[in-house]
Amino acid sequence: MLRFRGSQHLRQRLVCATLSGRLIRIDGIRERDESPGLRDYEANLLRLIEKLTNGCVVEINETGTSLRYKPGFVTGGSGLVHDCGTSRGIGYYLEVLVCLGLFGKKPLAITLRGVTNDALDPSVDVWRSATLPLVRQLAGMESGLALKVLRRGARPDGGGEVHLTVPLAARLPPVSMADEGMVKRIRGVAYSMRVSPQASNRLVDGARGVLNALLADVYVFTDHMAGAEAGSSPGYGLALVAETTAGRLLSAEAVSPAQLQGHEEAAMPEAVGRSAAHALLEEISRGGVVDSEHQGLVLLFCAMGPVELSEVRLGPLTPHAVRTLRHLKAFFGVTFNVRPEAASRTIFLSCIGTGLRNASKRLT
Amino acid sequence: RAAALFSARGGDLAAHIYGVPATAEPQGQDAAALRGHVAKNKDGESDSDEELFVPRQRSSSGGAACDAEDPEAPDTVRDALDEAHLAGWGDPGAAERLRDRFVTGDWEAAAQR
Repeated sequence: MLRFRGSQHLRQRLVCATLSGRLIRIDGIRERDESPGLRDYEANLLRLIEKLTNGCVVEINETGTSLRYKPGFVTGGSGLVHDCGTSRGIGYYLEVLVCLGLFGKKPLAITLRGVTNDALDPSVDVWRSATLPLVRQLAGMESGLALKVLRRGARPDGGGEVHLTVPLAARLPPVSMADEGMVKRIRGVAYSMRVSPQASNRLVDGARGVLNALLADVYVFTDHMAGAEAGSSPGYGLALVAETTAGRLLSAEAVSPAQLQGHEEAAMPEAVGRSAAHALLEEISRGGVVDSEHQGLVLLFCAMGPVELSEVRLGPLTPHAVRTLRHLKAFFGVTFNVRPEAASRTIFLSCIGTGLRNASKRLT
Repeated sequence: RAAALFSARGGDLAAHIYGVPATAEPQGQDAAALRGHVAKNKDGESDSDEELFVPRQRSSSGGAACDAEDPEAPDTVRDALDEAHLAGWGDPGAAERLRDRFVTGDWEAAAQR
């Protein structure tokens, strides 16, 4: 059994525990907090994992500060529905679903309801335009992995709905991503719901004002949803993806504040568009084959990969990536070789994977 | 400490990453994360009862997100970006520094990266 402390990195602890089949125990979850114990979204995540797997055992103490998790087998299946609540965005749950769904018994098809676009978690637009293409590259699959946005939902009331399908992976190919390439085009989605349809165009104007100085090939789709498709709260935002000559994708986004009233000045659509463009420039300047949000995901796929050398090049490591490296060592015994390159301020990380196989899929 | 994470330092980066284990074995208590918290607890115990039940004040989520050792760090892949730092990209000439990372820049300079 592996023992941990604190609420940090809970999602990946659960994912790694399930994939490696190891029992974990976490103590001291927010024990010195005003409201100690697991949060509602964490309990919701555990319910989602129970839905997805067969035979898992979750034990939580009375105060919610200790959690014992015995993983089961991932079953997957279609026709699943889950209400993600409004505390965290749907992006919070998607990472778990995609990582586990690849190693299930049946292909996963699930409908999720909740907040689709949020500042704390990657929005469904980033998932659709950057994360899923990345997972397709990492898992070596052409099609089958898809996310469809049926309704958008902003904070605070949500009301969004998405449909996710995840195919099965027998085993993963080695990862070799050392070439960054140069940014050749920038694409994006400007979305708005329950506000004037003009907001999307103003978002695009703000972003183009910054990006067109560097590149002419900037195209942002506008997506204004109205009526039942717009969810329960007003909001707007912009997700941008830079595509490089080596086929790498770097994403960044900005969203309007959760409460639009009282933040009119800071939340002018032009200002939100500009800050999305600034965030994208920051990601490009950091370097690496993925942006800072996806570092942990790439490292996880390297560790789960075959018993061969996998190598990636990343920008400065985020705290999440550092925690991921520590957890991969604890769960899979994978230690990465870290080689910083001073001139470009990037880091080459390489490892020998564990050769994780889908236990329920026979190799022929 | 946060600055150390973002700097591309030499060989001690690996030591920085793997110096702190992810697991917390109860008998060892050697994790730096634990040590920090035990020390904090001892400081609190010495004083009056009023301080006994003072909950630990959380700094803003932005500050906490930048600390890989904090056991209660928020569980998000998103790195809390400093808004003032981001706004720096709006300064005239700031974006121009990235010119060679775009296809509109110098391809030979980019190939040397």
